[in-house]
Formats: sequence, C-alpha cells, structure tokens
Amino acid sequence: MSTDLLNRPIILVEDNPIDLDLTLRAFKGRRLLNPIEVARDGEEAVTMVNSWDESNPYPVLVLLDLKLPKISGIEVLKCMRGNKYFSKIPIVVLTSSSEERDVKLAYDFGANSYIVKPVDFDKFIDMAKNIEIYWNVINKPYKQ
Amino acid sequence: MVRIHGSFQDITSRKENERKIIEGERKYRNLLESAPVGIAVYIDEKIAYINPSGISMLRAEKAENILGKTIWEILHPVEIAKAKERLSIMLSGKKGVYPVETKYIRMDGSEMPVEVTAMPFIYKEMEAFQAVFSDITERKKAEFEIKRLNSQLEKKVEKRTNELLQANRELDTFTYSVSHDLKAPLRGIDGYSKILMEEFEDQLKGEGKYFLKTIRESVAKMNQLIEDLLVLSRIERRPFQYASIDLSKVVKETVDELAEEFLEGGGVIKTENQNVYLRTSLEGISMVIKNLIENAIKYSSQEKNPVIEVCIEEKAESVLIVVKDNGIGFDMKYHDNIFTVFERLHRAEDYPGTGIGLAIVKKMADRMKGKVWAESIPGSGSTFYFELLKEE
Repeated sequence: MSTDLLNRPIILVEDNPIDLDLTLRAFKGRRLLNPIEVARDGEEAVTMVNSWDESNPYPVLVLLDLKLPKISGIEVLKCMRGNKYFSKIPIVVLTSSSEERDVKLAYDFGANSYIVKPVDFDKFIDMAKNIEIYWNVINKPYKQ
Repeated sequence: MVRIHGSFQDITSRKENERKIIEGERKYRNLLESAPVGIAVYIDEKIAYINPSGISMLRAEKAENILGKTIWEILHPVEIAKAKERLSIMLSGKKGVYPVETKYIRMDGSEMPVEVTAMPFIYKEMEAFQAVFSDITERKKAEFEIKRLNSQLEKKVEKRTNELLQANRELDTFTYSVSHDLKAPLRGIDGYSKILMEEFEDQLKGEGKYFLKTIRESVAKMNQLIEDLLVLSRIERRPFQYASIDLSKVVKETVDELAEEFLEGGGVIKTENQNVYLRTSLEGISMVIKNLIENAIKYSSQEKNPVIEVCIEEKAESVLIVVKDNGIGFDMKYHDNIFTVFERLHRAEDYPGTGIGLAIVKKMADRMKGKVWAESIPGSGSTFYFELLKEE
C-alpha cells in the first residue's frame, strides 16, 4: 500500500446515523488510514461531486447507499459517472436491498461492486476488512 | 238434352272452381290482413298493396296515404345505397333477400329500424316484389343495452386490473421496505450489542453477557424471518422462464449440494438414474426439490439409519416427484399445518428453522399449478409427493 494511496479519501454516502456510525467503527477497527469523507444524503453527495477539483486528492473509493433522502443513490451514481473526476473511481454500492431490480440498476449505471449490508455485526466487520484489502491493496486503480 | 245436361254440369264445375278461388283468395287475404308483420307489394318500385300491420307500423293511418309511394321514400336516406345494391341483385337473380336489417322512415317522419325479407316476382311484365318487415326497435334497444353493458363491464375490468396493478406495486414497495427498512434497526441492535460486549466486557456482571448473546441470537432469528418472507414474496413476483428440464439432474445436483453432512453421518440417499424431462421453470422446480430434500434430511438425520428415497415417476399426463424418509413423521391431522408458513410441529431446539421450507413448496405448487401432499405415520417416516402436469 503506497503512502499516496493511503492519503486519498474514501467517500461514504450514508444517511442512516446508526449505519454510518457502525460503518465508521468497522473501518476504524481495521485501522484504516484513509480519511473518510461523509455525505449524509444524495444532495450532499451531488454537491460534493460537483465542487470537486484538482486541489482535492483523488478519491480511492466511494461507498454508496442506494436508499437516500432527496436524491437517490442511483442518481448520485449517474452524477458521479458523468463527472470527470469521478468517472473512473471504484463505486461500491453498500445497501440493505437484495432486490434484483436494485442490483441491475446499480450495475446499469456503472457501479463496480454491489454488497448487501449484513445484519450480523461480525460479518459487517469482515466485510469492511475485505473492502479495504480488495480496493486498497489488491485492486489497481486508475491513477489521476 | 244431353248437351244441356252437359252444359249444366260444366257450369256447376266452373262455379265450384270460382268459389274455390274466391275462398282461397279470401283465406290468403285474411292471412295478409291479420299478419302481425308488415307486408307490402311493390310494383315498379311503388307500393301497390300494404297490409294493416304495415299501415300501422308506418303510421300511415289508412292505405291511401301510403299506396303509390316509392320504396325510396320509405327507406331511410342512409340505407338507400345499400338497398339499391340488394334490389338489383334480387331482381337480376330472381332470388329472395333473406332477413336484412335496415331503417324505414315512418309517415310522421320518425325512424324505425326494421328487419326485411323480400321476394321478387313478375306482375304483368313489370318487376315486382313483396316485402315482409317487422319493427325491431325493441331488439335494437336491447342490443344497444347489451353493448352499453359490455363496454361498462370492460371499463370495470380495466378499473379492477388497474387496482390490482396498483396493489402489486404497493406489495413491491412493501417488500422493498421489508428488505431495507426493517433490517437497518436490526443491524443497530446487533452492532451495538457486539460493541457493548467487547468494549464494556469488564463491566458486565452475572448474566449480562448471556443477555447480550441472547439479544444477538434474537436478531439473527428476526433477520432469518425477514429473509424468508422475502423469499416467499419473490415466488409471487418473479416471472417464470420455462424450459425443458432434466428432473433427475436437478435431483442429483440438489443431493450433491445438500447431503454431504447427512451422508457423512451415515445417512443413505437413494435416487433413480433414469432421465425424466419436463417443461417447467428450473428455478421453481429446483426450489421445490431442494426444500423437500432439506425437509427429509432435517427430520430423519436423528434416526439411527436414516434413509431417504427420491424418485421421479412419469405418468401419462403428469410427473410425480416422491421424497420418502424414515424419520420422525407427523400426525396426519396436522397435514395442512405443515404447509403453512411459520407453522412448526416441533420445538426450535430440536429441529431448527423458521418453518418456511414446506410453505415455499406449497406456494410454488400453487404458482406452477401443481399439487403437493404428504403421507406419514408418526415414528416411521413421511412421504412427500409433488405432482406437475405436463404442458403442451
């Protein structure tokens, strides 16, 4: 893991305060060094994407919930894929929904991965560990 | 004398003939005059005779008001073109016109739908025809009413269909929130129980840890129930894709997937090797076979020498899948209960599960228009039957 990669932020789009806290704890438990930038709903996420420029470090990963107030996760996905900074950033959909319709929509609009949030917190921690290892260590991102 | 006699006889016979003719004519005239339908004779397209029913139907009051009028004055203007065509066919072919529906204009100017039969003849070298017509106003009203009711019914069906579609959409939304919204709080309960257990371990006294463990177990149970509900609702919502399926292959694959532990524990599963094909949904039939075998494994694995037999019987019009075990069985008075969702005949400690497996089989049977039933003797095992009709 290069230092450069570790400075790059992970963007977490999550509206539910409990899920947000548990996700942050799960990642903190793995001593992940990447800063985590949080958008608390779809609108915040879209604002964040639209105001991104060269002065910000290139994000390493987006964790995106689908069911969000105001602007849905799919809309956020479309907005990210249409933005020059975000068009090639790995986007992992992290949601409670295991509906096939949602899975299809997510991939149709360019998600790289789809993960159903486990209810069991032990599995949740495992999941965080796997996301970190895969996207930060195993996966080779497009460098910008 | 003889001649006179002869002439006398001649006169008698002529008079007899005339009397017969007059009588015959009177008979026919009576028939015409008393017929409940309108009868008109047209010579050279003009009315030469019309019976009283015809006069009254056309509201002419007396024959003089209508005699001499042409057929084109009687017909409704929109009907004239069609009538001309019929008339020329009739006169050229000397063939009658069998009941046709058309419209007349009565003498008072009102419209009258009629059914007409016409027959051509030659009268003194002029083209003539007779027309028999009846007033079909009532019939037309009834037909119109039927049409109106039908279109009303169609509108009702459309409305109901829309309501059903709406209900389906609501069910979809409901399932969506079941999968999404009901799970979020569960994740909170489980997550914070776990954090409490780890970060405040030294402060938990006595049964504290046990309580937290129980909370987490209850969460897992609740989570399973939600998952099961989702599975059931997907059976209703997902469209089936039909293909020719090798049932024996599905059985073999299912056994390979499920039975490892059972076989290692000394269990035996007998299956037949003959290939039986059926046009059905792979997803549906796999789910049925999987749940029946799972059920058999669950309720026989505690026996000393558990044996499960799976066979597929091909009949003339259907295929029967039979799954037989020598497990604990059940009392036949609970036959219907075992196919009801979340109904269980045993305590969860003895046989874990939410009680959804056979409910899935039943629901799938309903959707696939198949039948599922069981036979059992407590203590000596159960046999489950799943029958599907062969489709063309």
